[in-house]
Amino acid sequence: MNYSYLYAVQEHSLFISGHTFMMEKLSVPGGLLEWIGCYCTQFFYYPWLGSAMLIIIWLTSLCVTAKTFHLNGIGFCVGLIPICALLCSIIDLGYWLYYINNLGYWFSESIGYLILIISVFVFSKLVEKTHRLQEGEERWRDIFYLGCSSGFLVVWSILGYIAFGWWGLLGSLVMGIKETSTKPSPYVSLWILPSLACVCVVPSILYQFYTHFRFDHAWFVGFPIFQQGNFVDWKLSVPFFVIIAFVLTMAIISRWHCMENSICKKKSARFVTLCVFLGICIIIPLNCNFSDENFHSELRLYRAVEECRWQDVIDEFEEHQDSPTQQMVMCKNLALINLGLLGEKMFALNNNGVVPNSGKLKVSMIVTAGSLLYYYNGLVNYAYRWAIENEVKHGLSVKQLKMLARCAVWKDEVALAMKYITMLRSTTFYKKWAKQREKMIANISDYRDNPEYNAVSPLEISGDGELDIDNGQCMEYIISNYAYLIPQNLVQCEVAVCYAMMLKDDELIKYQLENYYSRHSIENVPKHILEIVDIYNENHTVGYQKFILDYQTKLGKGHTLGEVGKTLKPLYRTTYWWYYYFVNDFATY
Amino acid sequence: MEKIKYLVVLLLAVCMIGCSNNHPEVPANYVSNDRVPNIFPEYTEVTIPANIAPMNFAVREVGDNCVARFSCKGRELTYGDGKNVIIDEDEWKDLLAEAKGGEIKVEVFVHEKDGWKAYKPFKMYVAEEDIDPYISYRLIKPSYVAYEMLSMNQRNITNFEEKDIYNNKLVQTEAVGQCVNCHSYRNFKTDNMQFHMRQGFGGTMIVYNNSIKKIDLKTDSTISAGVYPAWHPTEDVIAYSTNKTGQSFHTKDKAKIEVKDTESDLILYDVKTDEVSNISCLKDELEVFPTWDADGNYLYFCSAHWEYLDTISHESEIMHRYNEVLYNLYRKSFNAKTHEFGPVELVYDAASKHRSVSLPRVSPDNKYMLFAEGDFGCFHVWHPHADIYIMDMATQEVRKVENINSSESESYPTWSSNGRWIMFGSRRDDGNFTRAYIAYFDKHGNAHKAFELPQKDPNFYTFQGRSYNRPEFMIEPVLITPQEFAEVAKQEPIHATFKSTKVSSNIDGSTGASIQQINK
Repeated sequence: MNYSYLYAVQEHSLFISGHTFMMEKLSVPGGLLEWIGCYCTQFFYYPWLGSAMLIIIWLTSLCVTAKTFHLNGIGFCVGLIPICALLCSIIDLGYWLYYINNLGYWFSESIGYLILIISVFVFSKLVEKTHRLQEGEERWRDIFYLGCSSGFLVVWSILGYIAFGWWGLLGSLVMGIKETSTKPSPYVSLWILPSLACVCVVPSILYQFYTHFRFDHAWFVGFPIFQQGNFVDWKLSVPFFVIIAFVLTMAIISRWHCMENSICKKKSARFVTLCVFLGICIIIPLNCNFSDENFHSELRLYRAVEECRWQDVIDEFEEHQDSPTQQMVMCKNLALINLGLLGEKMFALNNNGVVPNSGKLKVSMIVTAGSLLYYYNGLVNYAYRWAIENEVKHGLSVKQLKMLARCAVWKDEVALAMKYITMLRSTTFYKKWAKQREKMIANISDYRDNPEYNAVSPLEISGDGELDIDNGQCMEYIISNYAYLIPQNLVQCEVAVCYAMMLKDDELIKYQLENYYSRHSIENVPKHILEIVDIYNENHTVGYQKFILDYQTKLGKGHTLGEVGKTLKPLYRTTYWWYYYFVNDFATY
Repeated sequence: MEKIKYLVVLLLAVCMIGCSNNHPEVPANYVSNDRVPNIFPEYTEVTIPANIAPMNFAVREVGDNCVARFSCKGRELTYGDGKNVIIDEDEWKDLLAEAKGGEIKVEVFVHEKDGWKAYKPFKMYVAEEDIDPYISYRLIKPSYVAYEMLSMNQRNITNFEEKDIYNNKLVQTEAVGQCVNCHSYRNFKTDNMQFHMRQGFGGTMIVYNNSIKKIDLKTDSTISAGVYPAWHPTEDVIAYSTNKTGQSFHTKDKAKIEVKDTESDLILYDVKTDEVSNISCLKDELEVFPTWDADGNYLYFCSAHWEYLDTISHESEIMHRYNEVLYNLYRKSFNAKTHEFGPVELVYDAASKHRSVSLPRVSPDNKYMLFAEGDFGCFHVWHPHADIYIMDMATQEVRKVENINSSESESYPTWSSNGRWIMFGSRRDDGNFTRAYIAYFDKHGNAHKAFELPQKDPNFYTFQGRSYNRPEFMIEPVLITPQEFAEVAKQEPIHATFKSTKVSSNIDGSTGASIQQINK
């Protein structure tokens, strides 16, 4: 079980009890499914609990699938295909976690499938009764059941579409196909026609009552399409195509065959079939799992920063510091600031991050952690702004709501803070968090004792601030903001020097060094600051002289700068000198 | 059969219980409290129209239950469900009909640990004059750049029915978003109305005598497409500002954002011919927010005298000097026959007081003008220092409107068709979300205490996360469906053509500009 991922999943979702939240979700067909999905997703707060719920849904789906499509004995394994697809659909998301707009996605699709199968099963049972028609017994009762079946199909098509979106329509289609018999019969062979009519007509009529989707989306509203701008990651929609293919195929063949017989009768062959299916169902999800270490580390770092567990941030970073993302670097630097070790360890711990391994998906730090980084770097207005912007783009989540509440409390905007706190109090698992904030508003000394206050306070800029634009580049903005800052306290002085050193702008570094030494005694100066001073001094230390000698020797042998950097890295990676000489590109995203 | 009968009876009973009104008993024993209760929305001592929806409220006092007794001329009604007071719509209408021109007394009782507590009663005054039955507004998250969720909605304020007029989700794609803004009506009616769409499927949606067309108002001779609109009350023309607008963000200030123009002019659009002509396009003036008087004889607008130092880019300069941009109020006479404008006249010199005016609106009887006034700039919805001011058109005396302002931003004032009600956007609830507030404006020119647009769920505003932008009165609903608008939105726009006209200008000496004739 991936604890950090599942916990992050519920933080990127939100369920608020009450009429307003529900009505917002119901504004699109399939909204009820998203609402239920959001309700269930919150249980990932305890990852084992959410997982258990999901497993129960899948097991139920498996049983109903077997019943509906008559999958007996070894044929039962075939029912694992959609379950396997549903599992793949949630473990392969990776950075899409931040960009997904259906906030109940992790449950809603599994529940959608379960409901589809149940509806087909119920319809089959109703239709079954009309089969007596051919036997000529109690004709009026059969006609009654025929009416019931027809009514069910129509009502399901309408209500199913309203409540479950594309799952509802797929259900109608499967019902029609499954119950269409090849045997000549005046009634039962025609189910496909009303079914197709419903699928075609219902969305086009109901479109007139909705305003939240385009007409050309009416037939697959709610279908998971992973799109960012013009880029569509169809790979992530494959599980749903598999499910569609599965239910349609089953609907066609289950009328004629019992799957137990259709596969094979030999025991050994059955055993092999069972093993193959189970193998596929284990191997495929394992291969699909988004296992990028940095992604998972970022999730753990985010939570540790949010909870001001600064040493845990460093510990986590040290485990993955070979090739961290820039977001991890920013989190590490925040932790170092709060531990008072920025000047000592900023460059000793890898400070040269990379962009995330997200394939064609363009990941922006402003989306993944922008608000958090702004907040803990004392830029509370920008933290608030990006929590709102991200809410507009990707939906209101617990993560954004907590950030909005934090910012409002910090800015002493009591009424606004109470709005967000009241919303959080209406969730299942964040009541306690909300009450703590409420207490902070009521009692300022409670707030002053909070580690969060102590983390933000020294970094907040003094005065009225200024008007500025960050162009959506939070890392660049934070670093430039401090590098160019007129620092007001010692913490800011150290941050300003170190961030200027990160930019490698000599004039800026010298300016910030002046500020630093005007407030700091010449004793106990942190390592990296001494290292930059060493670079600018005419009389170099032995260590720096050795570094220069090694550098010049390697360079003299005709190596490129990159090759020299690589060779010297094991020896000097913990020094600022190495960063100063060899890190020339500054990845931002 | 018997079972079915029982089932039917049971169902009917459930329906009757569901439909019946719950009128709780007023407690017999209680302790009196000498203050009015803390309720949300704040509806104590407000003046309301006789055709408004029930003024439901939540009681925000410590306690687990409440009862509110509404009494008027011997008629009494009680409501209370937990901490909410939700009034039956039919009973409320009857009560208002009786109270018209009078008052409703409201007593609130709250059940606390020690028993019931009765708070000091308050009154709701019911005005003689009705309010326009419909309002419209844009619902927008208080975002800065992102606009994925935007809709223009109309609300029947005699009940709680709200519908979309248009929703950007009907046309926008994942790759191309769409912003919608600036809905505007001619004479409070919807057979002639307009709104803008920007970015994806961009253009101005014009409804002219109930038929829709989509226009691109940008021409080679104007700085942008039309922005802030004003329908002429009788002629088929719309005055617009054209603006080059940018936004930047406060690193610390409470206001969080500044929206400012680096350039702006005024244009006139002829709805019949799709021609655009200049009204005002002075080099050192930032003209914006046109509005007609009730007869259409004058076009009022705001303008800031602004000279760039040209040491840095205009965008950067205005970002650094944003609080020096001060808008005055001007007007130009308009000849309805020739469609020609007269010279510029200064109406209100706010800049000389280091103040800045925006969003002027003339009352239907031409006696008053409402506007928002703040310390600087024109986008007062983000300025906590902005309040609603009023000018007596006869004397040109300007005063802050009493009873309706707060410590948070007040902006976008507008009049009802009978001039007895004013509506405006206010952020007083929490400083961040704009809500529609309505106030009675009596015959003596005084505004009464404003009340927040009532909602069925009294806690609606706590859980709702969108701002009510640009609230406008309407005497009838928009009958064109959102889907019909969407169909036209997908079509290519008609391109407006520029018509060269003589533009006269006469900016007051205090702003530095001289009398001039501009011929573009």
